[in-house]
Order: sequence, then structure tokens, then C-alpha cells
Amino acid sequence: MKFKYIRECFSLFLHSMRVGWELMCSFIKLSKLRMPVITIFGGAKVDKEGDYAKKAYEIARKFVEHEVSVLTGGGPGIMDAANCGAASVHKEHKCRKSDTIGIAVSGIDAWFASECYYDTIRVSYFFMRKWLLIRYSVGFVIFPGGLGTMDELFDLLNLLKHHKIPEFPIILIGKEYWQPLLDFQDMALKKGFITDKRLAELFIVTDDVDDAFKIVYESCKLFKSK
Amino acid sequence: MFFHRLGICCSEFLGLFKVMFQVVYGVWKLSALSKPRITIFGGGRLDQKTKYTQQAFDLAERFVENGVTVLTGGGAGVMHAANCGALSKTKGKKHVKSVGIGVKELGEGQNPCVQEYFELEYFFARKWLLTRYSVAFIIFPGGFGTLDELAEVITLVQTKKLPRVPIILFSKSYWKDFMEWIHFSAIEKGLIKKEHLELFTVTDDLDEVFDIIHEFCECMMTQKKKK
Repeated sequence: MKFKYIRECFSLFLHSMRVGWELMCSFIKLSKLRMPVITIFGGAKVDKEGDYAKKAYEIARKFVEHEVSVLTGGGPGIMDAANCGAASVHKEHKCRKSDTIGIAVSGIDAWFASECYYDTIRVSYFFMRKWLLIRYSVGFVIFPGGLGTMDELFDLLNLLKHHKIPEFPIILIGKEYWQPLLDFQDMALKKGFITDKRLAELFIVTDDVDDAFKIVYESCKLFKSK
Repeated sequence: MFFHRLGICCSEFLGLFKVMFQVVYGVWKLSALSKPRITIFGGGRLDQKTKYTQQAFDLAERFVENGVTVLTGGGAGVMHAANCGALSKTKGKKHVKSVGIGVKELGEGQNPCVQEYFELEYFFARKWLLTRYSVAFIIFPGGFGTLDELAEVITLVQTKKLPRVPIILFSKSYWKDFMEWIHFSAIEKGLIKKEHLELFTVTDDLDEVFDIIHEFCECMMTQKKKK
């Protein structure tokens, strides 16, 4: 019986060595990016011709034009649109190769190959992706998405709540889409599950891409001046 | 520039090493616990006298009576109640049935009812341990932390990174708005598939929760024996 525990722990040790190795490789790749970095989250199942995808393309382009790098989850849908938007800038200017990286989780959307040209990092677990995306960014734009996006959103809010990361702006795009979730939050606030009023004001919901850009860019400017 | 980058990478490496050590230590502790293990998530801000905490207490008690180990986040509120419920049935016995995994520097601290408690540096390590080493999840009403854990578990099951396990959201009235978001925003726009709704159950009935999980655990145990 004791032997089984030792074997289990040993296999976990090997696993974590692998995780450590993958993270190190990603750190090296990410440190090549031009700072500051922002992250765009969003659903993988969003139609690429749709309204939200176009907005993602536009905002990513704008960020790169203002010398801010863009990270995404490296999947289809919104993520691909944002990556393409960012990649489209240096195609025209023929300048630096990479201002955008997608961090994908291996084994998910394995069929997916983008038409645009940008770097992808593959990691083996979800928590590593979230860790990398959240750790290096100074602002977050969250487009409509499903369960994965929700996971990322609440992870962010939870970290902010416990002061594990500084107070960076979080922008939710799509008023109509996020409204029921906001209702839910109001209800939780009333019932005392969320006690901090500050938290309710942590994120901003808007439909306007320019607004979102302005708010996040302020945070980037602060970073640059440091 | 080069040395700056090198410095960042080295400091990250040291941090990682620390986390790795903590996780392996946690697994060492967890693997000594008897199977099956389930996790109860819930808000840390709740008073011990409310309805939800009472229900968490009852549920944990019942699980421990049937030989299930209860893991929680080790904090106050629902976690406290669940731990106490588990403890009340193990008094005088040697088995460890009530376990808490906390996060450092939250100001939460451990509740008095945990038999085994350890703290980790980061949230993701806690979620990792809680999700990987239990076979079922019960989610009581809670704030952002609970939502984070809920979303993480569902995402992992949806993308098949975790095997299909029962996920139960407790209290229909609390999760109503959340379900509305899923139904009227996400499914309508095609961002969540309809079949993913089957990954979790929303209920108000303690017996139902118990039955679903008990059945699942027994099923797993018999499968193991056959092997």
C-alpha cells in the first residue's frame, strides 16, 4: 500500500517537472514580446464573420498599432479573430514579427489551424494557460464566450478580490450578453455572498470598442511610465 | 535586456519550484486518505446559522457515515459547516475524513473542524488538488471564489480533461440567474452547446444529491474491484 503512494507521488513529480519545463519555455517566448501586454478572452464557438469577432479584430489591431502586445487563448472564434487583427499590423508594416501570441491547450481544438501567421505556445493544462495569460497582462478584454471564458473571468475576479494581482481593468464587451450574469451578481451582493462593493465596480460592461480601448490603454500607459 | 529577461525567468523558476514542492506535499497527504473523496465548494462569507450551511453540515455528515471523505477549501462559511459535519461523525475514530486545503495570505485561516489542513501559495494549486483528487463536486451558493471553482470544474469536464463526474449545484433559487445567462445568452448565441447542460445538475433536494453521488461512488468501486 505504501508503495502505491510512493509511485503516485513519483509520477506526479515527473508530471510537475514537465509542467515546469513547459512553463519555462513559455516564459522565454513571452519575454520576447514587447511590453506591456493585454489579453483578449472570448468564446471559441463564435462565428468569425459575426459582429463580436469583427470587434475583436478591430480592437486587437488598435492595440498593436499603439505598441501594446496582444495575448489570446490561441483557439478558434474570438481568439483567432484577435490574433489575426494583431498580426495584420506587421504584415503591412513588415516590421517586427511577433506582437501577438496564442497560448493553446494541447488536446483541445486539435483540428484548428489558423489562416493568419502568428506564434502559438502549447501547454498541457488549463491552469497553465490561465496562469500565463493572467500573469503577464496589464488589462483584460472579455468578449462573449461559453464555459471556458466564464472560467477565465471568474478566475480573474477571484484573484483580484484577494489582491493576488494588482487592480487591472477588466472590460466585458456585449451589454446584452452579460446582463443575466450581472443580475446574478446583484442578487449575490444582496444576499451577502459578495460583501465587497468595490468588486462590483471592478469590471466595466460596454458595447463600444473605443471606450474599451481607452480604458485599457490608460493602464498600459501607467505601465510604460514605470 | 538579456539579463533582465534571464532574471525574470530565474525568479519564475524558483517560484515554480516552490509550488511544485507544495503540490507534491499535498498529494502525499491526500493520497493517504480513503477513497472515494468528494469536494464541497461554497461561499466563505456565510453565517453558520443560515439554511445553506445547515444543509452542508447535514450532507457532509451523511457522506462520512457512508465512508466518503470530504474535502473543502478549509475556510469559513459553507466550508466550515461541511468540515464540521464531517468531523462530527469521525470523533473517536482514527480515520481522517475532514480535510481542508487553504491558500496563504487570504486572512481566511483554517476552520477548527479540519483534521488535516495545509496551505498553498496559489489558487490554481488549490483548485488543481481539489479537482484532481475527488470524484464528485457539490457547489453551494457562493461568491466569486465559488464561481471560479464551478467554472473550472465544468470547463475541465467539458473539454474531457477530467473524466465525466457528477457536478451538483445546490439551491435552485440561487443559481436561477446564472442558469438564465446560460440559457438565454450563451446557448442562444451558440457559445455553449445544449448537451453541455447535462454535465451538471441543479437541485434543491439533499436526498437527490446524496443518491446521485452515492450511486456514482459505488459504481466506481465495483468497477475497480472487477479490474
